[in-house]
Amino acid sequence: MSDKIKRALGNKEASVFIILIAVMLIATIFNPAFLTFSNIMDVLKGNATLGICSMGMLLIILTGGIDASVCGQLTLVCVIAGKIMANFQFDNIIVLYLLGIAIGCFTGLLNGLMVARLDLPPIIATLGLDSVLMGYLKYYTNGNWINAKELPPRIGQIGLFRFFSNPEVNGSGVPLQLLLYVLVALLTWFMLNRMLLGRSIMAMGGSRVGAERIGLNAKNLTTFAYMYAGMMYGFAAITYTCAMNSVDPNAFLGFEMNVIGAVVLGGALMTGGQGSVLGTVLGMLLFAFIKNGLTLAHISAYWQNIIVGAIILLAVSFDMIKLHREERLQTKVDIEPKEAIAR
Amino acid sequence: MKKVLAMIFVLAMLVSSVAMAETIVVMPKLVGIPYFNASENGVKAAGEELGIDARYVGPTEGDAALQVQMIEDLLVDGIDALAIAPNDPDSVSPALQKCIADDVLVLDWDTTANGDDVTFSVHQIDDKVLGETLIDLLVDQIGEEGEYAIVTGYLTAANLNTWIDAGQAYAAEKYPGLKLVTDPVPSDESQQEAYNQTMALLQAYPDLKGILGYSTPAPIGAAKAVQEKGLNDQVAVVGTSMPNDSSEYLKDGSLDYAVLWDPAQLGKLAVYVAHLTLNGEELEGYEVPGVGPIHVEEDGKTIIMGPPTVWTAENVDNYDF
Repeated sequence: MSDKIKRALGNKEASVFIILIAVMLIATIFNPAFLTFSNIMDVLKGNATLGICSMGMLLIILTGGIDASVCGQLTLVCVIAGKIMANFQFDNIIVLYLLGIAIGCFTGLLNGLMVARLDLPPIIATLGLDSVLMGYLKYYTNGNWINAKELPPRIGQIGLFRFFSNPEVNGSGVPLQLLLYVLVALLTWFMLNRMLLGRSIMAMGGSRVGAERIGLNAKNLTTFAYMYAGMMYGFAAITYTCAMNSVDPNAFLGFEMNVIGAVVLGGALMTGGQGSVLGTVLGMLLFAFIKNGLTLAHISAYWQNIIVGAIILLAVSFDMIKLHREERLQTKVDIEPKEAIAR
Repeated sequence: MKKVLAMIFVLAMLVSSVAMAETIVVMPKLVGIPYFNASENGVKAAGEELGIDARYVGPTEGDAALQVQMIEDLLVDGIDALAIAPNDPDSVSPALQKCIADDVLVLDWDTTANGDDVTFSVHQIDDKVLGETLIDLLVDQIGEEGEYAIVTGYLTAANLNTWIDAGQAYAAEKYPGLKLVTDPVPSDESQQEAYNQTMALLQAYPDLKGILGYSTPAPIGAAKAVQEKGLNDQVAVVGTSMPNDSSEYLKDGSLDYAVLWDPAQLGKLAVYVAHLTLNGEELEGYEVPGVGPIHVEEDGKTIIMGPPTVWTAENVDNYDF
């Protein structure tokens, strides 16, 4: 039993979890309104886009890559879907979701081909795509919003939908966005843990050479990771457009940092091969609840940035210290056979 | 060939100067965005009212180099006055000096140029007045006492901070019963972030009666949160945003006032100032139709259009930008 607890605490996710609980406890002590159903639901709704995108980013980071084109891909889907909604008063949400996923799949494929086939460094390839997309979108939209007046009324209604809501209290119940996020997280978890595809990506991230030796096609796996991420962004973009009932071409500037932040905070290693869905979910929750908790604890915005930064550094340092310790242990084991070969 | 061309130009100039007594060009930073499209309407309206040739010429991109090129072309064309919203004051400065050397009256509008390059500078708004107006409108909704919060764009945005500071100084003096619950909360110019922050503020301060939104996405995000929580009647939202984006929220009551200026009036004012100056008429106190009396500030150069325009559920449909 105590072994089990020890192993659980030694988990990568454990440190994030402990910090998350600590943050939530402190916030609740400062303001009991923090730990209310309605506040938790509001925070989760407000961060569902971030959560969905982070599932895509997780896959890319598992391959050892990174995606700096989150902003461009999200905005592209928002603008195309928004224009269709506004110009044709088109409000079939299923078709819009499929369209968003298809566009994301395509932009993701571009990223994947550049990284896997042309061997471009992921940061360069995705920054390039982001620049192309955002440049064009700014030219096309002039930065103008597609606003609530232009969008079909059903879009805003879908964004407001909540399950089990109390008709007496506005904005109560479980938001639709939370359900979508949970579905995406479950799908990603299932793929990474129960499907050969996901296990192969994990294996390749850990050791590309090793994975290729056992016959995995690293190029295709990498391409798939970027496509999957693109599809997640497409899904997130439609969810966002409904929730905000508007399209602002500048809404996602700098958003990739939040997405990457949530994944890294969740214990994923930028070098690939390490990271989990649970960790990423916890990372996103930590990210979201710190900000909300600080506002609820009546802490001024100037201090918030300092505290958020400090907590992130703390959480990531925890991981790195643990990792270094493990590595030191591993090297000791490795030394013997190497010497044996040399002899 | 050059001589022939020059002759044609001279002829064209003579013809145009006979046909049209006066040519005033208003140059925006760029054309094709709703804000500057709206000011074009004002310029055209002023031209018709005054019976002069009021042109609206600008680049398709907000690029100072393109503006310089256009100014040079206009000089060849022969114009009497140029009102410019420079994309970069320093880059257009030499071209403006060339205008002055050619006896063309130069003004700036919307955005200031270098002081030496212009005779008059037409501003949309007095920062202090805008800051104070926002506080007055908030008081109009929540009364002289109560808690309110501020959601701003970036904590580092100079223009937003000027508005906030002016409002705070004014509120401290005039409405001591108003209580700002926390320092301005940043929303990174994002509607989602403004929405999230407002949700948190509503939970953190249950007695909150009002929210002031600075930067154009902030009031919309705040209104979205208030709307979703069904607090349209309990929490007032007042802020700086554009009429088209605000319209839905003004109409359902989640946003109470949207405040900014009307770019059409600004374009109109620029033409009137140029026209009056060219004809040596007195600017001070001149009544511009639909805009109001002109007032030249103490520096003898700056002209401020007047109080900001306030949009409500009733008048928002009369504007399109």
